Amino acid sequence: MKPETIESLLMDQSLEQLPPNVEELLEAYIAEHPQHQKMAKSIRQSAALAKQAVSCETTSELPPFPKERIMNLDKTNRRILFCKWGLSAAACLLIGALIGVSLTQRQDMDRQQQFTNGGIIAVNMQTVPDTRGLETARAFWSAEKYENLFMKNRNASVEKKNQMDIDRAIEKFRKRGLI
Amino acid sequence: MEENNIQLSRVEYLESLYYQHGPAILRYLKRLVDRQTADDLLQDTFVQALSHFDRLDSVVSIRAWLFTVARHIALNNLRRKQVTANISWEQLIKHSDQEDPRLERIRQAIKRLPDEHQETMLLRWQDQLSYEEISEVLKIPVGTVRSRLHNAIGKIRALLEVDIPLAGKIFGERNKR
Repeated sequence: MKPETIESLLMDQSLEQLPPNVEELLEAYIAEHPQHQKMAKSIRQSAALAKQAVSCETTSELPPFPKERIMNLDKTNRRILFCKWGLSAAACLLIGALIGVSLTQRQDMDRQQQFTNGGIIAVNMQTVPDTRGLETARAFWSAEKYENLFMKNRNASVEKKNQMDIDRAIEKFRKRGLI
Repeated sequence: MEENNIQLSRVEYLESLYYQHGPAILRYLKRLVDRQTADDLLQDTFVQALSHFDRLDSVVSIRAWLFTVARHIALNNLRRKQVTANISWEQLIKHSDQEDPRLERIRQAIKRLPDEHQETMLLRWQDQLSYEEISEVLKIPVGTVRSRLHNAIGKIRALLEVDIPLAGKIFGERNKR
C-alpha cells in the first residue's frame, strides 16, 4: 500500500470515520509494517490533541422548550392547511359549475340559432365519429364484397354475350339486305 | 380528540428531539451568534422544524437536519443584522489548570485556519457529526469535508513536529487569502 493511502486511512481512523472491518485490516497492516508505526502514532496523537484543544464544556443551561409557541403554531398550520384544502375544493367546484353553465348556455344559443335560420337543423359533423377507415377495412374483408364483385362480373359477361348476339343478328340482316 | 393526540405526539416528539440534540445545537449556535440570540434561535429552530415536520421522514439524519435548520436560521439572522458570520468558539473551550501547553498552540493554529475549515473541524470534534452529516449541514461534498479535516490534521501534525516559527508559516495561509 502507498504511504499516502496509509496516511489517509490513518487520518480517517483518527477522525473515527473508518468502518470497523477496515479499521481491523488497517491495524493488522500497521502491525505487519513497522515502518508506518511512527506515522500512525504521530497522526493519532495530533488528532487526539486537536480534539482535546477544541473540546468544550457541556451545555447544561438549555432554554425551556417552547411548547406553547409550537402548539399554537401547529394549530395555525393546521388551520391554514384546512383553509387551503377548502379553498382548492371550492375553486374546483366553481370552475366545474362555470364550465357547466357556459356549455348549457352555448347549447341553448345554438338551438335558438337553428330555429331562427328557418328550422334547418345542422348536423355537427365533428360529433359523428369518423368510422370511414373502419368501414373500408370491414368492407375489404367482407364476403358480401366478393359476392357483389362476382355478380357484377357475371352480369357484365351476360350483357356482353347479349350484345354479341344482337351484333350477330344485325350482321345477318345486313347480309340478307334487310337493313 | 384524535387530532389533539396527533398534535400532542408531534409536539412531544419535537420535545424529545429538543432535549436530545438541543445542547449540541445551542453550542453550535453560540459559535455563530451571541449567547442570548443563540437561545432564541434554538427555540426558532424547533419552531421551524415543526413547519417542515413532514420532511423528517425523508431525512437521513435528524441531527444533521436540525443543524441545517439552525444554521439557516442563524445565517438569516446575521444577514438581517447585516453582520458577517464569525466563528467564535474560544469562550466555549474547557480549560483546565494542568493543561498540556501544546493545546494552546494548537488552538492558535486552528484560529488561523479559514472559517469554513474551522467550522468543519468543530462540527466533527465538538458536535460529533459524521462526514456525511457535515456534508449535509454545510452543503458541500463529502470529499471536501474529508479533505478539509485531513488538511487540518496534517497541519496540526506538522505544528507538533516542527518549531513554532515554522508552524506559523504552515498556518499562514489564511493571511495570504
